[in-house]
Amino acid sequence: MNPFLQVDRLTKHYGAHRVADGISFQLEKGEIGCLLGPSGCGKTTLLRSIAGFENIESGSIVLDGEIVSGPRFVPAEERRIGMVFQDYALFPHLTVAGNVGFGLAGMDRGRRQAIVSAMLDTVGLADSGHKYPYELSGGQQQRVALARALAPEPRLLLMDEPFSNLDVSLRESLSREIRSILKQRGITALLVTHNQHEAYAMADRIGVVSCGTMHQWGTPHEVYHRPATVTVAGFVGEGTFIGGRVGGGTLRCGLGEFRVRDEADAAGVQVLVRPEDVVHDDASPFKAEITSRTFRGSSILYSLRLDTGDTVLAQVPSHHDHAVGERLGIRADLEDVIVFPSTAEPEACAFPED
Amino acid sequence: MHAEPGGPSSRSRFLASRPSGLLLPAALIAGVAALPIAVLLYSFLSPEREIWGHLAEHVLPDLVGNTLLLLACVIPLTSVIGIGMGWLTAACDYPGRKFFAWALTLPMAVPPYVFAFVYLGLLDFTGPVQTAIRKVFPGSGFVDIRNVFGVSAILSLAFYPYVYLLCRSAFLTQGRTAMEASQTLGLSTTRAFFRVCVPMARPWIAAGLTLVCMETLADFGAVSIFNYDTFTTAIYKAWFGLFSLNAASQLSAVLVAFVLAALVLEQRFRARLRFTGAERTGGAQLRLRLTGVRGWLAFAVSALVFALAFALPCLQLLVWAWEAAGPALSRYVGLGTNTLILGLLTAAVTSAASLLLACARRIAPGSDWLVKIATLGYAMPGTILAVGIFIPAAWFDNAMLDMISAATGISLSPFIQGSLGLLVTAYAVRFLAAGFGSVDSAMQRITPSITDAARTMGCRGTALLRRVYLPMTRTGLLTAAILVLVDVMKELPVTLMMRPFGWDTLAVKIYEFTSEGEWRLAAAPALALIAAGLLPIMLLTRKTEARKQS
Amino acid sequence: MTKKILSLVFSVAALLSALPAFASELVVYSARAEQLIKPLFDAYTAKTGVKIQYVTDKEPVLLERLKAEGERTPADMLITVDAGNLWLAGEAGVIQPVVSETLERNIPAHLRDPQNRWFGLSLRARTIVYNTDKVKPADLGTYADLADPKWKGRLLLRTSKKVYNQSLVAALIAERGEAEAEKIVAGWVANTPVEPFSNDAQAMEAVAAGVGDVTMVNTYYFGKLMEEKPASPLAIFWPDQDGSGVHVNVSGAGITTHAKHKEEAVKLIEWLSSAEAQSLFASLNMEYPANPEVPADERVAAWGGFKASTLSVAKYGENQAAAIKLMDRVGYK
Repeated sequence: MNPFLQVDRLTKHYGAHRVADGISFQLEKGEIGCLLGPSGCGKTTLLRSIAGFENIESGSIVLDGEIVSGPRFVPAEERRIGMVFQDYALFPHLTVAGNVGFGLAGMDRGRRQAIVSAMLDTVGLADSGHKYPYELSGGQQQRVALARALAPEPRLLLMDEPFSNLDVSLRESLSREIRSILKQRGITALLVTHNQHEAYAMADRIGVVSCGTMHQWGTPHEVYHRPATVTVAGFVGEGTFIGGRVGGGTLRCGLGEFRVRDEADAAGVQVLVRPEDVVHDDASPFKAEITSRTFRGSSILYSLRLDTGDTVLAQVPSHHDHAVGERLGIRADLEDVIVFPSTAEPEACAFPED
Repeated sequence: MHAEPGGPSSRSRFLASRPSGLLLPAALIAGVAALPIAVLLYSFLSPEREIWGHLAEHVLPDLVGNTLLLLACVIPLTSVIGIGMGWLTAACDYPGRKFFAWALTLPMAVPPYVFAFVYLGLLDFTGPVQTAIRKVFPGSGFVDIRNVFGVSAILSLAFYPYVYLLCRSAFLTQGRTAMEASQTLGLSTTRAFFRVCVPMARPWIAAGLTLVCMETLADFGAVSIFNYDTFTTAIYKAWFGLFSLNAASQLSAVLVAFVLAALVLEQRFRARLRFTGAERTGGAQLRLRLTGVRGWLAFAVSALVFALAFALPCLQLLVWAWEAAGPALSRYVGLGTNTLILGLLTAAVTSAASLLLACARRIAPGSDWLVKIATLGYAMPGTILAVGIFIPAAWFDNAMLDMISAATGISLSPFIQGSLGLLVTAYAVRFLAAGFGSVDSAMQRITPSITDAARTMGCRGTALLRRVYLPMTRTGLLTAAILVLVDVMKELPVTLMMRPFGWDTLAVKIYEFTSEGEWRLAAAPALALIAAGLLPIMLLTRKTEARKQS
Repeated sequence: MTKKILSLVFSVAALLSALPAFASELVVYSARAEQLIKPLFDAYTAKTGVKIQYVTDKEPVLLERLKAEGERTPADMLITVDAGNLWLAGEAGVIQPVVSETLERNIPAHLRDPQNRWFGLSLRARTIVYNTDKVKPADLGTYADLADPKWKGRLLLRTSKKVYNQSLVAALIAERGEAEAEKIVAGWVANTPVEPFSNDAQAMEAVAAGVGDVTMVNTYYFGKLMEEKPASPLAIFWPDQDGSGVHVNVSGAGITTHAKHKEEAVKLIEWLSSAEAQSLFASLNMEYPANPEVPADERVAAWGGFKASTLSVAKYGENQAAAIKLMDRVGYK
């Protein structure tokens, strides 16, 4: 089992702050990974360390069997890593073709032109080679940045908040497109974002990073349905926690009783309840009062207060239109019962992003 | 576009890269530039207590006050003219704009001492203006323009182009979005100008004003003609009058220390504004159209500045040149060629040095002070700097020749002293500051992510310089070249001292006439100097304008 | 690539280095402007075939240059426009004593260095010029008189920063002592209605226009102004005729200590003191020849004869520093 990219117990400080604290993860060849987390949690630093712009204090980074950080340090120019920046960083003095061909300097003209055309074709900008960056829209500039990074056939592609400057609809379509391009070419990639939708759309593996530690490294499904820590649970997807207790393999809470596996008896726990877990059921003995509602097109998100005082969110098809103040019967369909100690709090870091 | 706080965290971005190759040449440049400073410091070994005592008691307080007063007048005046005209011609459109855009840089071809003797000739007691007034209103008294207001007006006319050029650079690349964004926030054009456009151009304005300050402090020609005593007066008094180069050097050291303090302040100020992010977010540059009264007002103001700063002096010079009978015009062609060659050589050297220093500063954070030292030459009075370079050069030359003579018995003629190379080096040391500001400002526009992107594609060292830094700083380099070129052409004390035989310049000729009070004879070479400077200025201004429009 | 750069650097360096070219030529460092020495040197070259290369600059700078160049200086001769700097050059040791009968004969003792290191070659007087509409010659007397309160608001001065005034005050100090000189200069300053002018021509034109009535200038500036504007209501007055005489200064030369062509240089300076050169020398700038045997240019002679001070001009340099400090103390700008 030889992972293509292996980050092992990476630690790095900025002054007094520990920006990365023993972070470890790995990517197979051709996998797309994503570091997800709130702003200011150190993920860009991680990315830059992998790129070779910064050195690390302890731990190691191994790329394709070669140690690039740690015992030795290979600078960015020699790592053969492509990078797409948040501000695209296109060279304003070169045309689109000039930008894309930038990393192919040593080649003879014919071959370089062929590769550039092919790349522009791939990103859907075949006719724009002669244009200058300022003549393009944000989405188009993003594609040029991608084409430029991929043209020299890098071993690894890094992307720093690639879609943060684009509007929402563009983000989704572009994410799908880029993922398909990467998969087609079998490129190993790592992106960094604070937007979970991008993470779901692009990544095979997601690492949830907060305050310099990686809370979970898993598939999108795992991260969503089996969050490892309360921080992950709080960051990924929507939902609330309600109180309960565990005794003899059973969880008792404000929405009923559920069987739990592998949970020790505990007097106070919190249970993650997602909006899609809560179902409108007039026959249910559990009633809750609607405290607010948000129309979302195909569904409505209700905020409900249980008799126990806990708040839950319910996502209901929108033709079930109820007003604030109504009491509804609800029942919880918890496929996975996600339980945390009630003392667990999501992390909040206080220092700015590097 | 967002302003990112500069400081240690941003700098550490560059720590991983090897500072390497650039530090050494940068240190070399700073070393040569520091030679005159070293000579200044060396002079403290022989304290001149008596002279200092006398000067401190009778002369310095007035001079320091005069100098500060002069700065206090020149800075606001050049700011208003430079920023105002820069914005009008860069961001607005009005009748005549295209002409004024390049025409307003022309005063750079006129040395401040030429402005001084032209306006003194025009406006002094015996000049045509006051004489005419006395004819029309007999019994009216005499107005003495030889005071701080007169001098600062002259110096402002001479120096505003520095602020103007750099501001234009800023405004042309600001893009319309800044203005539009502020208008959506409810700011009128005027308020948007003052609250958004000007602050965003602060690094450029600061660079321009720094040059203006240093030029004002070092000026000797114009203030002597007006008999307005500044700190520099004390320096020359100590040397030429009291026969003490040591005291003069010590005074110069004080002046330089003051300038250094000001530079540090300016640096702190600029460090707080590091702009990252693309400046163009698509769409061509659109100008604010000034129509009707506003348009013609803009035209009138531009025409006034142009008339005062260029047309009127040239006209007076033409009249004088016509009246006087001096050496044949053909002699001036030879001098003009010398002047241009020296200017171009120095422009090339300083542009290269500026680029190197700007790169070094970006990559090796500790080299900030290297840069400051390298640009101090601008603040030193020209003659002091000339001596400060000549003495070490002669010492080194003689030592070398002595060694060769001792080793081989061959006695060679001096190699460095009296050479063209030494003259160009002295010019470069003197004028590095003039060029550096615009190169540095252009460099600041190269965001860290752009260089990072280049590095991920294997581009580093000289390739990075050639493929990224050079093309992206091209307009900055051109501006630097033009500033240095005209400065060298107008330069006097260094030229006088170190020119090789047969390398007289037009400035030397002008000086020789004015030193004998022959102002009218000086008009012809002054015109030749202005003419020689016009072509490069126009060409380069057009080039930088064209580039920015794309 | 490195090789190419290196060879380029070396060839550029060779190009920019000094190209020695003075084999059988004389090199002169001159503070006298080109237009005033070139005709002389051309005449000399035409006569003797010896080429002369010259560099012009201000005296203190030339002095520093000579000092820094030391033994390797290419300069054979130094020419200045005033006596103070000649004295200084002598003190600094950059010019050497010359024993020459010709020079001793041609140049009066008070116009050359007591130790024969330098020789005055042309004379200029700093004298009084007045507005003929406002002042009669009978009103004027000596330089000291101008300090009298009757001239309040009527005396115009040239800046104290110019060496000619410094020499004038230095002469006053030498003749009357510092205390007396200070009183006189303070009186001048009290009498002047406007700031001092930066040159003599300005001062005279202001007198003509009525800003003041009287001023002190070098004679040749008067001559030039009258040539340009003959209708000006100005005239010369020779002060101190009953006393020590009109203050005079010299423009002169000396042979450098490390001159490479000393004999040729001595010949040149001897020629400059000869009748032929003296009349040319002086008439170029409307000055008086230092050689008393040579008659003055007729334009200059038209101003009339006068008694000139015979104070040794070497005293100007000796007292220059004191003169400047004195002027600073009384606020003479």
